[in-house]
Amino acid sequence: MKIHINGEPLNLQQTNNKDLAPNITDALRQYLSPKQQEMSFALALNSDFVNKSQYASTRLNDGDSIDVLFPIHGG
Amino acid sequence: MSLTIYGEQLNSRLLIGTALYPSPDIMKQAILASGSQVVTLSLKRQNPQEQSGQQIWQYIQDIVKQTNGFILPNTAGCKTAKEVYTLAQMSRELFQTSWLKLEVIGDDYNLQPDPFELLKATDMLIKAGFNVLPYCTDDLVLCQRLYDLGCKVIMPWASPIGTGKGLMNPYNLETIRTRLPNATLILDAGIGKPSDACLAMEMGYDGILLNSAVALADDPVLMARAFANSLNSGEQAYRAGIMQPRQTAHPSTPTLDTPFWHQS
Repeated sequence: MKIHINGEPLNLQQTNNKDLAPNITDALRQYLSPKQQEMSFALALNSDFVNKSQYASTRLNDGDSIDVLFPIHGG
Repeated sequence: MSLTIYGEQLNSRLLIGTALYPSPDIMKQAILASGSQVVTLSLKRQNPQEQSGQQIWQYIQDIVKQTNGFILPNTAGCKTAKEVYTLAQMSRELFQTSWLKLEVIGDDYNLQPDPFELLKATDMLIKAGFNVLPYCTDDLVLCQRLYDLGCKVIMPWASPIGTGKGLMNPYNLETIRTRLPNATLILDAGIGKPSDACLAMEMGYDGILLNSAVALADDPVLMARAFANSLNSGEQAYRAGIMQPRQTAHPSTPTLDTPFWHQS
């Protein structure tokens, strides 16, 4: 399955259970290192906010686009 | 005198940004020197290998802890109410605050807010429980509409973001102050020097939000102190009651018993 994270293409590996599509947690595991997964960030799927508690239950579809946003200085 | 923002009482009337400083250390020193208890920050995409964002976030958390202050996330870069709504929800989850500096940019050249999307976004956000601090132009009717929607705080610009041009249109700003006496008015964007901030406070503005004027100074820490002083001066002058300008000269020294005076 091919998705985009922060504008970059990502080929998502299939989960152990082939009947289930990868979820957001699977995508983050592949995109971020374990240390980076513990950083402060928030996420949107196809431009809609997804609560952290829903990462594991949100299945992804081919062509989905994820934005992972981090705190940064601002005015 | 303190400033109250959405029920939170603050010792300083200065709200300050965290961008453009020469280093995170200087940022921290400058913000502490300013006395501000409200710091703005943002959310952006970031390469996972890039650590600077996490470092800044750590600094900001330290500052907020030291000042017993508050985080004010912005929606910089958003151009539609829909984008704002998504980013606002992300900010609320990450920063654990319902405060939001609402920015909806309508023009890339001068970063002028889009008044139509701004009103739409404000309506959506207030219904979703956010405490909105909208960055807007100095248009009286727009400010009135934002107030009517439920914004207790309104933040008209002095001039476009980062220009340092100061108060482009004092008449508009004074009119907004006069016509919205119960709104908390914070002048946001375009402040260049402490006298700009002082002028706004003398008009009766409740506070100032700035970033570049401090961050881009040769000595940001000293400039932060200068702004803190200017806000105090302006606020005290407003409360003291500024004299009305007069058309003709009036001697301040009594003319009675003037020496060397002879009636001709």
